[in-house]
Amino acid sequence: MKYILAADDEPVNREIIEEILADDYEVVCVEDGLQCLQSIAKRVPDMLLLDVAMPVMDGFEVCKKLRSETSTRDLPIFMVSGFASTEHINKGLQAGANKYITKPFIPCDLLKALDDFFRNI
Amino acid sequence: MTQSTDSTAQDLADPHQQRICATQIRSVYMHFTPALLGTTLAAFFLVVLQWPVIESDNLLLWLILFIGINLFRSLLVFRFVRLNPDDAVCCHWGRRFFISSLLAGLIWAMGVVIAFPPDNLTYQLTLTVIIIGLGAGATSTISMVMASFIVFVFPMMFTLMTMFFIENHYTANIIAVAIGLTLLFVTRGAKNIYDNHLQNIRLQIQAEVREEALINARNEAQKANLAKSEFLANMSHELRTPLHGILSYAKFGIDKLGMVNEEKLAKYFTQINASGMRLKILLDDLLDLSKLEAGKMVMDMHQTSLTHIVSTCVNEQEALLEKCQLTIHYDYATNLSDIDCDENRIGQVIMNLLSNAIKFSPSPGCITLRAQETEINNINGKAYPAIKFSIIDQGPGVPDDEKELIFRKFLQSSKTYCAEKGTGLGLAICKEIIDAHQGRIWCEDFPIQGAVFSFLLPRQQPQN
Repeated sequence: MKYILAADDEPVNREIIEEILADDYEVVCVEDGLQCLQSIAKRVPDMLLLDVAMPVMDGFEVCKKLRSETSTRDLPIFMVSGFASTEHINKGLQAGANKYITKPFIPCDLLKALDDFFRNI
Repeated sequence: MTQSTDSTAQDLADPHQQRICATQIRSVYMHFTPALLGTTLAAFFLVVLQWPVIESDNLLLWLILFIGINLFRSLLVFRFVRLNPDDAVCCHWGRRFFISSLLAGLIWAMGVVIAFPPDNLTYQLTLTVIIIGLGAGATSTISMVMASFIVFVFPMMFTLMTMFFIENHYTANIIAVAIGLTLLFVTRGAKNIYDNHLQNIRLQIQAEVREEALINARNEAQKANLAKSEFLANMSHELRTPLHGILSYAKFGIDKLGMVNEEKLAKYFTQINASGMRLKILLDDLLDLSKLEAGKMVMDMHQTSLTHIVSTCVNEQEALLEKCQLTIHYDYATNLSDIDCDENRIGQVIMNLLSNAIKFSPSPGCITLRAQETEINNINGKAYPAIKFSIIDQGPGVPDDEKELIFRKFLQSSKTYCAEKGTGLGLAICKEIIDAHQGRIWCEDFPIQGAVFSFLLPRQQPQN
């Protein structure tokens, strides 16, 4: 079973992600950017679902940091955010995200995006 | 002392006085080289032409003096062009130019006395032509600084006029009068050039001031546009978050109907309801804020007691305070009655600050409500009696660089961000309400641990 780490400061969003993915994946949720990095340092996930606006360290910074380190340079990252402007999407992709998903999204769309991604690697 | 007072009065009369003065002086220095060559040529003409009728030693001595002052003036021009001083220093260079012009004027006056041959009208006229030529030349070269023009031209022309009067015969008197009239015309011409030049400088400064104002206005507009875009992006984000909750849980309900138990379904509905409520609060806050910002929210000001407003807020939060094991400590050092304010809006501010304090306080803990008598200054600096009301918590506090930012829309402190989130508009609304009461709200650290949110409220609303 693939291991997915989700970082989001909103409890509701973390619950939604768990509800969507719990049947097909092993899901662990963290509340901010720093916890996210600490969790990855202990165990590298197969996929990181990363919110943008988070306390301590935002999603862009986390993404850049992960891309700058050898062990996480190729870690698949999907950014999942309520910021939906072209600037934010470009910033996310430039920071190194493989995909940028805007909220609100349909649960099955997230599942499909993950399935497609894992099938293609 | 008098000079300093005069210059201050002048500065007040024209805010660009220093700039005008500097431009005039720069203009004189920058165009002075041809004038130096012209006067040198005139001096040599004077010596050569008057050589047959004037004692040569006197003429040579005068020529040496003239060359000395002209070298001094050339040095001044050279140094000025090389240093290119700023506006403030230019005025010193103006004084130096004035002194050099006075010295040159006196030397030319001396030249008139030396080179004026008594009873020889032809050579007297030769000298007159040279001096009038110099005066006319000075109108175009140094009239931008009128004082320097006067001290250069007046001594030599006045001396020449006097010399003709001393001759005391009919023709000499007529020539003296003609020289006097020429002096008047030359001065008038110089004054016209001075006025036109001054007008040009003023127009140039006006154009620059307008250009600067336009650039500032454009920058302000760009900033406002950026702030608007940022606000829209944040608002869109804040609206999408609860909407995501509603849509996701509704979709779970639809997809899993009949597949999950009632308890799970109830959880979906609860989450939809909670997200919906969050969306409603956000929209209400947005509406409040937009009304406050547009000045469309009318404050219902009347004399009221802050004690009553505070106790209403505390009573409303009583259950939560008990749940979080928090106690309220009252520290009132003043009478809180007879305060001119909108009871509901100030209640909204206190409620907001109190609920933040509850949200971020450790459990068990204590929240202090402190009131002190103080004063507040209006924009004209007049002091009014005021109340300082503070809500002190024992929470994580607010970092220094965020103490002002948290009163902006959608910005929350990084230290409190991960706790139960608000709409990010609460403190922005508080600030608008307190501003509408002509008060002030701010955040500071509590010495041991925690944050202090204080606001000043005038006892009587100052009349604008």
